Amino acid sequence: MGSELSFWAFSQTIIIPRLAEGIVVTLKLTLISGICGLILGMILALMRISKFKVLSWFSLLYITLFRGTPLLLQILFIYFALPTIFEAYNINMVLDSFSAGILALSLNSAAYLAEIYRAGILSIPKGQTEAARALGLSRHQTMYKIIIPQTYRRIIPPVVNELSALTKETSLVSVISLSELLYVTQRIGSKYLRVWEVYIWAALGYLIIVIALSIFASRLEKHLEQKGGA
Amino acid sequence: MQSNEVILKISHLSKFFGQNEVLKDISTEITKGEVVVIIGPSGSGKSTFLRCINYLELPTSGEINFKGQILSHSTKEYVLDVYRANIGMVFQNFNLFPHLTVLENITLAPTLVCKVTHEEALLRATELLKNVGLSEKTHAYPRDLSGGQQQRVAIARALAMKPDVMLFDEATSALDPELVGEVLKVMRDLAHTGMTMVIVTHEMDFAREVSDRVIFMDKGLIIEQGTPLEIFSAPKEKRTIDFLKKL
Repeated sequence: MGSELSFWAFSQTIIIPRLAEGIVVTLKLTLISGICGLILGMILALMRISKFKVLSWFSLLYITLFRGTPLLLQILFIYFALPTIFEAYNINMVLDSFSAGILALSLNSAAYLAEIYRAGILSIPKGQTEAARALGLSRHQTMYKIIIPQTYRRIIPPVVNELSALTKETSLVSVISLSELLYVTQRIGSKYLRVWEVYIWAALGYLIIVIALSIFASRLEKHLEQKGGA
Repeated sequence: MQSNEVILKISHLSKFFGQNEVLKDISTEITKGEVVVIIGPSGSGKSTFLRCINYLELPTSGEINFKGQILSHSTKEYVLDVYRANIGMVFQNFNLFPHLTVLENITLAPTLVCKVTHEEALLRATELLKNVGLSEKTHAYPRDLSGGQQQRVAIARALAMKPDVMLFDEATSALDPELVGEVLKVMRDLAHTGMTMVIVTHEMDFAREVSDRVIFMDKGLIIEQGTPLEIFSAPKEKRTIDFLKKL
């Protein structure tokens, strides 16, 4: 079935309708875990540079852990091992594959984004902090009004880099049977025994998302540049 | 312009960087309206002294009495924040906020720290920009200004907080020679308004002209101080004589 169809006919009738469903899941995974990662990453970065040692150490431990182990392992751990730990402590919590995927991707990207933010914050010259403090701004006001706004333009390129990596890494979630782009196409491939067509379509799907992301980013960067940013 | 009211009474200030004692038991008083110029060779501790006055650098020991309020290295941070708002500082590298316009640079701290209304801050900023001759640059960004213009904005930014004392940390050292004059003029005008100023500078002619008192520092100590005439025309200490000879 389907094996006698031409590439275009097969693509049109079988792959493309299912592809859309996979792309939507991949987009959801990317967007939700990207946003969670951006927020959690900022919190981790601020903890990391905090003068409270405990916060700084916790953040360092977190970042080391999530950057030092494979994402695939993290996904498997969260999906398969976490529920058994919950069970052992009588915590009633079920993680479906979508939530597990979101959780793993968010926690993982947060670790990378935290380091990007931190580097951005540390790249702002010390004179900026001194000028702000000399005017009577508190440590917090200095951070939120002076330092962080200046990091925006500087960190866009590495953040976009990380988000495109995240987009591609969502494919790892296929191991927990989440019907994202790669999983969906693979299923079609094995059902109809047509391999190269499905992979080409999957590749195209990721490419489109990543290219759209970088176009958006360069627009944003130009916009900030026109606004004067540092 | 001087009165007898002491604004800053600095007592036994010392500062260590690791094992290195950069300031050694510095004591002095600064009265209202006084213009004090600190001179000395590089590494003499004059900039560190200035930065200890507003606690940008935390002194290792000693205290400062600011209009009756005692401050030391153990003073709480929020108290120091309030104190710093009363002490303006101008830096060698201007340190304007590059993501904000000239106007925003000046209005930020008054609205954020002093809770002045936006209209009032705007009014004050416009007035200050006029005083430093930069009214037409109100909406420019710092990167579009020359060094001299940036430093004049930085002075306006500090003045917007209506400080009791203004500190100048080598305010003209990073400027091209032809731009030094415009900044010195603003500082001179400011001195004539009766502002209390502590100035670290290498501009000896300027020091001689505007200061009420000159402090000569070397190796973390105040070696000699007096009127500009006393220091420049009849220095007593050998180190002062040697320093002035090399200029």
